[in-house]
Amino acid sequence: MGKARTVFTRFVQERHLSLFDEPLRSEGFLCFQEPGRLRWETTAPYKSILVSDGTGVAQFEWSEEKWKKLDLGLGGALQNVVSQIAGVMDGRFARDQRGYKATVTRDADELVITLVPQNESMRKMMAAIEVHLAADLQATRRVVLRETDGDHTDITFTEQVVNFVPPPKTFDRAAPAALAEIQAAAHTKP
Amino acid sequence: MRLALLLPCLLAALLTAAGGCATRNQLTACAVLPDDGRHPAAVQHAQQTIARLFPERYRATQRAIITAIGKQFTCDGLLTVSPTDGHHLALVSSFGAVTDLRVRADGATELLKVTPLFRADWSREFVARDLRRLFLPPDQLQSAGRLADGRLALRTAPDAGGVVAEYVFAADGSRWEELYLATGGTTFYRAEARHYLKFPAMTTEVPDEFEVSAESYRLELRITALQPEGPP
Repeated sequence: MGKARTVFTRFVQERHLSLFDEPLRSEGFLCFQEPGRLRWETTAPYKSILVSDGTGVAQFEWSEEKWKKLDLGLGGALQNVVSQIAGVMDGRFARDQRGYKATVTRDADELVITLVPQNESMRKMMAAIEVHLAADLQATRRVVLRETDGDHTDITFTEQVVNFVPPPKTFDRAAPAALAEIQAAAHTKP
Repeated sequence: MRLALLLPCLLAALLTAAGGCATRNQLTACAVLPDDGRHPAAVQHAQQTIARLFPERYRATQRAIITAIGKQFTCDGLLTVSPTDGHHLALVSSFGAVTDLRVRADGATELLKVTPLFRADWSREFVARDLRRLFLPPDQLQSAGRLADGRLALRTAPDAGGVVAEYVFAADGSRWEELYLATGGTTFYRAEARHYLKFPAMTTEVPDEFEVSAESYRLELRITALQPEGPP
C-alpha cells in the first residue's frame, strides 16, 4: 500500500443508517496522488467532484448540463476530510499509533486493519475504521466506518490502478480534468 | 467518505450564524388577480394534482445544495414515505449524519436523531418545514385567483402560526410550479418546483428539482431516485 504513489479506483459507497432498511448508495471514482492530492468523484446517482490539490479543496456539482463550482463555506473541514481519506489510501492512519489503536487480522485473501480512535471525543462519534487490504498489500479493497450510533459507511474499491501518471489538471481546483481523461491515463500507464 | 471528526461543529456554527443573520432574503409575493369563478374545473384539477403528486408509498434519494450567508455545502437525503409511518427523512453530509426526522401521519414532527452537525431547532424549524411544504399535500386548498400570466393560484387558510401558503399551478391546474409562504402580508419563503420527469415504475411525472429561497438560506434540491413501493 505504501508503495502506491498514485491510485485510481472505482468505489461504491453505502451509508447504512440505523433507522432505515436500505442504504444510501453512491458510486464513482477516487484518484489519489502522494502526498495529499485527492479527487473523490461521484458519478451516480448524481455527479459531484470533491478535489484537493494538497493545499486546498474545491467542490463541483453537475447542474443544468455543466459543472458548477460551489462557494464552499467549510473548506477547512472538507480539507480535513480529504486529508483523512488520503491517510487511509497511503497508510498513514495505520501508522498513527497516537491517534488510533490498530489491530490486524489476516486470512488467505486479505488483511484487515481495525483502527479504534484514541481521542475520546472522536470515539463518541466513530467506533472504528476497518481498512481491508489485498493480501499483497497492494490495494485497498474496502473501508468500513463504524459509528457509535449503529450507522456505518461501507466503501468498496474495485478496478484499482496504481502508479500511473494522472493528467495535469486532475487535481485542479479551478477546472479539473474530465473523468474520461483520467480513465484514459490510468489505462495507458507505462 | 465520512472521516472528518475534528471539525464537526463548523457546520452547526455556519447554520446557526445563518439562522440569526440580520440580512434576510427579500422575497416578492406573487400578484394574484381575484378569482372570477369561471374556471372551477382547473381549480379542481389543481387540487387533485397537488394531492396526488407523489405516490402514497415510496423511497427517494436526494441531493441538496444549501446556501447560507453566501457559503454552500451539500447533503444527501434519504426519504421514505408511507401512510402509517409518515415522511421519514435523513440527511447525510461529508461529515456524517446531519439529522434524521419524521413528519408523522398525524402531522407532528418527530426528531429521531440529533447530531453535533445540526442544531435540533434548525431541523425542527427549517428541515421539517421544507419536507412538509415540498413533499406533503396541503389541507383545504381553495382558489385564490390567477396570476397576470394566466397561471392558477390556490391558497390555504392561515395555520396556527398565521402562515398562509399560496400554490401556483399551470393555467389548467395540471402542474404545480411555485409555492409562497407568507405571514402578516410578508412573504418569507418561495419554492419553485420544476424539471418534471417520470421515474422508473412511476405512471406520472413528479418535479425532480426544487429551488427554495427562504428567510436566510437557499436550498437547491434534486430527487436523484424515486421508487414507489407497495404495501408491506
